[in-house]
Amino acid sequence: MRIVRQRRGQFIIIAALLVAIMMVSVSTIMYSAVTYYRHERWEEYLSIIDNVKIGSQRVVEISLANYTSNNCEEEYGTILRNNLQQWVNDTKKAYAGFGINLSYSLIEDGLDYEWNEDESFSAADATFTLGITSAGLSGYQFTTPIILRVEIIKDLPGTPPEQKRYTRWDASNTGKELTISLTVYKEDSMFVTNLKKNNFRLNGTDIEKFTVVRYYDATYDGGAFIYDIYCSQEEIGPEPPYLISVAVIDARSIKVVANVTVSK
Amino acid sequence: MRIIEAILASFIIFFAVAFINTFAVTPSSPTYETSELEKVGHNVLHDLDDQRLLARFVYNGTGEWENLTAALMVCLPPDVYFNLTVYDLDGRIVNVEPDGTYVSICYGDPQVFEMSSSIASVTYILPGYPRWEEEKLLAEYEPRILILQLVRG
Repeated sequence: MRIVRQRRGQFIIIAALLVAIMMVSVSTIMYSAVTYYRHERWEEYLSIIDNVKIGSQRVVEISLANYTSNNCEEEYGTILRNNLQQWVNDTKKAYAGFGINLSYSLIEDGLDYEWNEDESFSAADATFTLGITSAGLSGYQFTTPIILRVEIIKDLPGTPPEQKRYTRWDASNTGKELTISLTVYKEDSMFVTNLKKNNFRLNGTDIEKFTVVRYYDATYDGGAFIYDIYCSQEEIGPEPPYLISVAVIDARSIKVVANVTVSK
Repeated sequence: MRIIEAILASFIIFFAVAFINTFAVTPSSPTYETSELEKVGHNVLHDLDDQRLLARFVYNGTGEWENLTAALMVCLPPDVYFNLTVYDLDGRIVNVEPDGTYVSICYGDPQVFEMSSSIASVTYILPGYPRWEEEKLLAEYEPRILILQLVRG
């Protein structure tokens, strides 16, 4: 029995295979090229989103700084709302042509504080919704919680005077020194570690001569950065107990006032 | 017969390439270059802002314009020339001395900006900067718009 071989179709088959391979490889290259440049075009909108996000955060910070520097007086209570309204309008102006649509929402006026306690804070929060018509983006939400919290640290009640490590009146030294120990937190309970002497005010500005030392205490609350403020008796007055007011103003100019009573 | 096969194969290849080519968006080189420069420019402004340096330079004004120029020179690649102008919301130029003299925040040969066909432009807005003046804190909302022009030297 003879096998009949068809010798004529082999070129078509080879050509078809080659064409198929070429089509697959070329289409892969083309696809990656197209998607790559599409991504490049998106960078522009990502930049705008970045700018709007960081700018919105700054507006909240500035508003809180303004509010707290005016001692949280009621007449400044709407400052965040007013500034945000202007910011919403100004972003539209600055990015005219992109179809920016920024809106915000606040709980009450978005500002909150609790001062004159041994744990005091100043806070602000706003939720933003961003849309960019030209990019087909809508409903992009982000929040900007801002907080500065000061906690004055005391030893446990009943600790003998000679074993006290934190806020204390130390009469054993010749200088008779007052020490105020505190920790400062910002968002996400992160420690604020860049404060210097000029970031602190004692009793308003009555006490000017004091020194500030920052250190890491591994034993306090699982580890904490602590500021110790030292001042001598001549600066404070005759004898304890003292009610000391400590104002902390951070690098964003947000202020918190905490109070502590120091006794013998 | 083989010639016809070869011609057929050529046609198939030609049509395949032509068909795929309709999906390709091949950017011209200047467009791509501008896009790259915009990205670089924005990243530099964003980084400076993130470190709270940009607002300090812009709002403290006199004396800080040179620092801003130096910061941009350090952050941008050496072959990228720039020209930054700061405006307020009314479109007035802010980078001026108290006597009204314009302060140039630029690096590179100005002719390159005139000659180049691909100048990238980045817009950046700053809402304000809290600062102390005579023991009083000024934390006002006073936006500034930065226009940074970039060109490859």
